[in-house]
Amino acid sequence: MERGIKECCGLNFKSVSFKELFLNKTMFVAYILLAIGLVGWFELFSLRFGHEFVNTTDLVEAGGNHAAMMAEALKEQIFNMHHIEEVPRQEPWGIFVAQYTYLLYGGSALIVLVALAELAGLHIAHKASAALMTLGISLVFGGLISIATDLANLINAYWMILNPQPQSGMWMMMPLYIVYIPFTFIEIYFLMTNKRDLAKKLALPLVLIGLGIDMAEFYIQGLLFQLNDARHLWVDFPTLWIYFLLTGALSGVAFAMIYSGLALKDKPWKAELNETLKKVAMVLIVLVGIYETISGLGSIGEAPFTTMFWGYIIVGLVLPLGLLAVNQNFLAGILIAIGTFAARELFVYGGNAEPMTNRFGMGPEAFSTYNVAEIEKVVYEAPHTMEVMVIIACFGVGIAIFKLLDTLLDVSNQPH
Amino acid sequence: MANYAMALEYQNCIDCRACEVACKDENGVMIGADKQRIWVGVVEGGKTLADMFVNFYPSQCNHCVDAPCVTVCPTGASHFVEGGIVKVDYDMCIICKGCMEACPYEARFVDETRHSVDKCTFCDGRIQEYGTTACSATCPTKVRTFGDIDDANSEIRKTLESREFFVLKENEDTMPKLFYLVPEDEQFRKRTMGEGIKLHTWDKISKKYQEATAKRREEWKEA
Repeated sequence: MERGIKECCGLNFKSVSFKELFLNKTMFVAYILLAIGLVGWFELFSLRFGHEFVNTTDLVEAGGNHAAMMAEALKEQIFNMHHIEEVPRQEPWGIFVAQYTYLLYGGSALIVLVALAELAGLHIAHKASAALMTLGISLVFGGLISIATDLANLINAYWMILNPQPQSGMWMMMPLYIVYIPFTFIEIYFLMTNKRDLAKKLALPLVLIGLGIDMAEFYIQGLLFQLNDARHLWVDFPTLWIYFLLTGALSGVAFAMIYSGLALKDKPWKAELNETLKKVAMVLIVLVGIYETISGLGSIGEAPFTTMFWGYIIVGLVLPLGLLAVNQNFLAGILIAIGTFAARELFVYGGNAEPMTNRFGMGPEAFSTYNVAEIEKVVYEAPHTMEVMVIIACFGVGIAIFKLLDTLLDVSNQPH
Repeated sequence: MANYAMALEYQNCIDCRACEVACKDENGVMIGADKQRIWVGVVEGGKTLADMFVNFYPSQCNHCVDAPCVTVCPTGASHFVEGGIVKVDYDMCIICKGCMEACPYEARFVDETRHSVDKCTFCDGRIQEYGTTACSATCPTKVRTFGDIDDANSEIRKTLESREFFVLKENEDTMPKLFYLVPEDEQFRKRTMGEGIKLHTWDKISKKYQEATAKRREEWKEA
């Protein structure tokens, strides 16, 4: 056994110091992203739980007490100051859901691709699968942090266990993740374990079960959006779960390209991995391109949705295709990652673009503020700064989890 | 067991918003321009003085028989109670906002004082005592008629049996229980109703509602 390596449960753990584990370049990048997020989380939680919101009873009960605070709360609420409005009534899901779908689909589709590569017996899979699967699950955690932040009263989530609602797509997410996350770690374990014979015997069934769980995940994700009958963009989308899988795979390959460019500088198998990623990315770009021509995602012909759509098509698909043709994988990966984020934004915000207040067929109705002039053909409420900060931190979560696992288990050096 | 609904004579609405004030006071709704269980929608139109108009559309939760907000709720916070009223249990809501996405009528909002999604409850506490909602009791022009559509002697039932009406976004198949009475004035009708709205009479549509209600009635919890 190599010095500095400790074996536990068939895994080789590196003996690393606190400094090696937590004070390295990658972790510092993660800390900076997390620090930005802390400001956002602080703002968000102080708004949710520390801000004064009042009803008429509160005003009567308060009497002369806290008069200044009450007056401020009233002023903000009456004049509808958007900076204190966390959830716009007309656009309930926003950037947290976009980030959740982006990181979670990207991460889990990367895991699907690795499983398929294992199944196909690709040579490179033996070298890179542990690292890429760990990268995938780390990004899944980044996405889960985003959705956990979005649930503005998470403390009541225990009712999902006490009062099961299997007809609800959102409830289905809970049993799904209870199975999905541990199972992915089991897959990673068997890719890295020293118990080679056992791993070889279980490899095929594990990969097949893993693929089944992955497909179920994307199906439930599709259901989550398609149950909202009134949101036509989501409901009319053809086979939504396949779209999520394809675009998620494209994001996942982009993350893998960025990882390869940053972390695999001295690995002999880097060129082989890059060549494989390039081919997969090119196929996916073509498939996603075909999907977009029939999906209707570009049909919202109003700003800012047109900008998002064309930004996504050009930055996420067209330019990367050109760059991949000249072997610029790293740059292509960055552009795909940016472009596919725009796609997720467009998908989530686009679902809410049609004003629900057009109920009498006479156009969108104004209410509350009397400001008819502000009514627009589409609904779009830009995310708050605090939300953007949390989104940035979710990347930090993914990076930190991956780096910690990589430092401890050396996933980047796990040929099996 | 009653099956509550509301008929709206929207041509009577003068946008005084007494209903909104009464609702907020009755139900302790947080104050805020966008925090309303009920509201009056406004649409302006026309280009010249000769054809300019302002339409007022009083509205609120439709307490749909097949409410999609109840289906998508992951904790069961959104539920039906006796009378077919759709309610939110504030202590169970995680504010996932799935119900807000599922509702075709944008009838829900987040009430920050309760840390929960909130919506119209047809004043379910009040109706036991006074027989009607705060908004309908307050309206000076009698826009809203609230009552039990299963009771042949109720005012709402008599109104629906004597008038044509329509429901909002019928194609969403939610079986809404806000029945908008077709304006008697032809000009007003043309000016306030877009194309494609289907008109109904009670004798033709009641069976559909009764069947759908019978299917969901077992889900109604004790109020």
